[in-house]
Amino acid sequence: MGYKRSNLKKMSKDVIDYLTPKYVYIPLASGKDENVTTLVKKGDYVAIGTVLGKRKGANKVPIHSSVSGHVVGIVKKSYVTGKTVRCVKIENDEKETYLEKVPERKINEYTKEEFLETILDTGIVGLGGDGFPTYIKYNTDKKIHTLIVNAVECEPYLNADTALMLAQCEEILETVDAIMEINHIDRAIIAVSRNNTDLIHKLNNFIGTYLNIQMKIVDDVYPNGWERILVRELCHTNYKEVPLEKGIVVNNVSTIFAIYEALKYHKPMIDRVVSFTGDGLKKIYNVRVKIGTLAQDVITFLGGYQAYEEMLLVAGGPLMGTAFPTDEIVISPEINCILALSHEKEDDVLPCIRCGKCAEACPAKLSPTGIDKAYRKKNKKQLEQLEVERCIGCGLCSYVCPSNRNVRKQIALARQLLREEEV
Amino acid sequence: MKAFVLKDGPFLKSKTKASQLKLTILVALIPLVLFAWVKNGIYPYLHHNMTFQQMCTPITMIGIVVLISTLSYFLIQKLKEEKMNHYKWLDILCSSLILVLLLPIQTPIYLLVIGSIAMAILESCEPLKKYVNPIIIVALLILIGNTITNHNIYYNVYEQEIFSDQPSYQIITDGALSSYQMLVQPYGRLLDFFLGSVPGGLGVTSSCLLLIAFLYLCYKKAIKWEITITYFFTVFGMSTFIGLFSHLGYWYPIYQIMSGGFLFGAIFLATDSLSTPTTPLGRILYGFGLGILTIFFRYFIGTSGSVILSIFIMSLFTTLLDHIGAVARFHFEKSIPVFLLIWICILTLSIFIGTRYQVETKIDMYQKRESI
Repeated sequence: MGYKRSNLKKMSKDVIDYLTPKYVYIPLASGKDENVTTLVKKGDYVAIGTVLGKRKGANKVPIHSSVSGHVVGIVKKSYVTGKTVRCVKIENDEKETYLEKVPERKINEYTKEEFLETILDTGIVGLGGDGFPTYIKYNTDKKIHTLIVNAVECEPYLNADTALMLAQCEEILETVDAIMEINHIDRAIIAVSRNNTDLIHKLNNFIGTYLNIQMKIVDDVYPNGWERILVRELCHTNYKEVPLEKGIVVNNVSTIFAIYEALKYHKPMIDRVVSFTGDGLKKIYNVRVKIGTLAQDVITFLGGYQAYEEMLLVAGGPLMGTAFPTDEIVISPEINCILALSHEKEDDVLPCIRCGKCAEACPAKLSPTGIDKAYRKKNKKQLEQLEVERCIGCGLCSYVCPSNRNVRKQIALARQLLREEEV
Repeated sequence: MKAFVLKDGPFLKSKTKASQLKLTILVALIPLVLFAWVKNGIYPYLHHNMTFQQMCTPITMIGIVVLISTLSYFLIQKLKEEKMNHYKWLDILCSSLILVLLLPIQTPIYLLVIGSIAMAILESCEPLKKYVNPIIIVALLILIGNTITNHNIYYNVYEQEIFSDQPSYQIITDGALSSYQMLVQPYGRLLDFFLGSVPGGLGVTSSCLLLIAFLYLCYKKAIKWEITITYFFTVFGMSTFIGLFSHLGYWYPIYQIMSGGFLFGAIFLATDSLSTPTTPLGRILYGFGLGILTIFFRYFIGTSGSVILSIFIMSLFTTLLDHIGAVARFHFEKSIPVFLLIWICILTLSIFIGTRYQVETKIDMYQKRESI
């Protein structure tokens, strides 16, 4: 059970560049973690790659400047989580000055230590939407036997990974091979959606060179790109917390390409490909943008909005994304899509008819009606028994609900209740 | 700066709405309504000496129940100051149709009126609906009323003249284990049960139409099909066991499935969305429970409403089954004791009935033949 993507309008699989915004707003946050030490102040000159801040705690991933120019100040802007966070505002001098020019290097010549150091220094995080620091996945003494490259991109409208993979197929395969060699990984599996025929065809042309890299096709159904489902489908195993428990690492295609640029050019995490899509935009494209660019600037560059009376602007996909009241959203590594949709009048929300479609649809095997009931009774014990913490927030329960209820929100509230009581 | 609508995601919604699910059920009921009229009104009118008024009896009954329950429901909603929407209209329409199709053709009008009003009241009582299907309560009340007033007769005027023996409901309860000659032959062949030309509730006798309705509802994903399937196979399996023990033959389980309003109950009553489990495993357990209870009632209690009574009792366990089903999604081993219990019940009950009634039935059969 899931959402079939095939009924959606196909968008261009080309990537265009928008790399010269006048200002960038580099968020001093990483995922939900805003506990970041700021290392610059107003008036400072920064180059591309200058470290602007560093996360505190164990996962010290640096946050780099994506342009060269002067720091205008620290301002608050809308961030992927839906909150406003502190951002370093930099006026772009468009000189593209790098902090240091590191000579190109063959990507398979790294030792494991150098590899880890490089992906930490360059601030590589997961670009599939979670923003999890990539070096943590590889920083282990445990034997990694399988690397899964996630090119499924199952959420409707999203197209950025496919576009990137079509454009940089050879580099991505080369990087997968290098990662396997450096980390002594036995095999790699590239997971692709069944309907993504262009990509399957392209991969078939190149993959024969790499004996230990396989391509595996998964159904084009949301949420088949979810890490847990991929591991189950491709490796026939389940894990509790992270795939590494079973000797598996899962990386998104965009993350692999970011690793390629980090290894080859020592390029920090300063740009990414984002899908600008939805019926609310005049032109829909996959755009390579600098981290910290405002979505507003890119949309203006693309020709602006359609003349709809009411519109929704969503960062992320239509099922897992967050709506914003403004288009002044900073592009962070976690954002893979900016979606503008016309907003139509919604049907009334009806009481639950207990049809059970939410339970059937849930990929985490939760029972939303039971959770809702336990939440209303504030029954913590029952919530624990119903394993509410397994929710991945995919939104399929709300999508399928014939009564138009926001089931996901109820489950999120139940999780919150459980966590509050734990505290 | 452009302003955007702020709301919680997800921002895509499935096109399947609650009112569409009810509409699908309504569409599935329409052929049964037509069948009820043809079988109990038009056909006897054309082939027998029947008055025009008698021809209109089935459609009058349907009209009375639908009209009174819908109007009463509308008035109650008005009094409660609650808005009527598509879903509510379709819900009461479906419920009233299901109710009337269950009833014997000779149900007196005053019982229909009382039943319709009672159903409108129960349908307006949202908390109650989560525990038990209002149709079940009202149907049970009307059946009791019919029994008290001696109107629990499932013959239409035409059948009353043709079949001199008791109706199929009565036969199955008086002597559930009997021969083909006793159970099937008085009404024709098994094919007649399949087509529906046998005595029974107003619109519940045509197994053929009911199976088509079931396939349509499954295709449209409008019902909890796991319940129907499990219920079907439990009753079929147990009847096969019982039939084998009693040397009755393979017609026996088929007869059990096609008689007593079983299929109608399994498709339209047992799958009521509000009062049945939401988890897939919960539904399967629910179906097993229904099957065991139906067999139990058919052989031990002898009530003509064995299907209805089973659904009523099982709906009281919905919360428990849902909890077992929800927990078993992560820990299947926790549901194993329940499955074991079910299998023990199925086997014990089948063996017990099959061996207990074997001799009695033969004697009973001869006695009945002699009396006829």
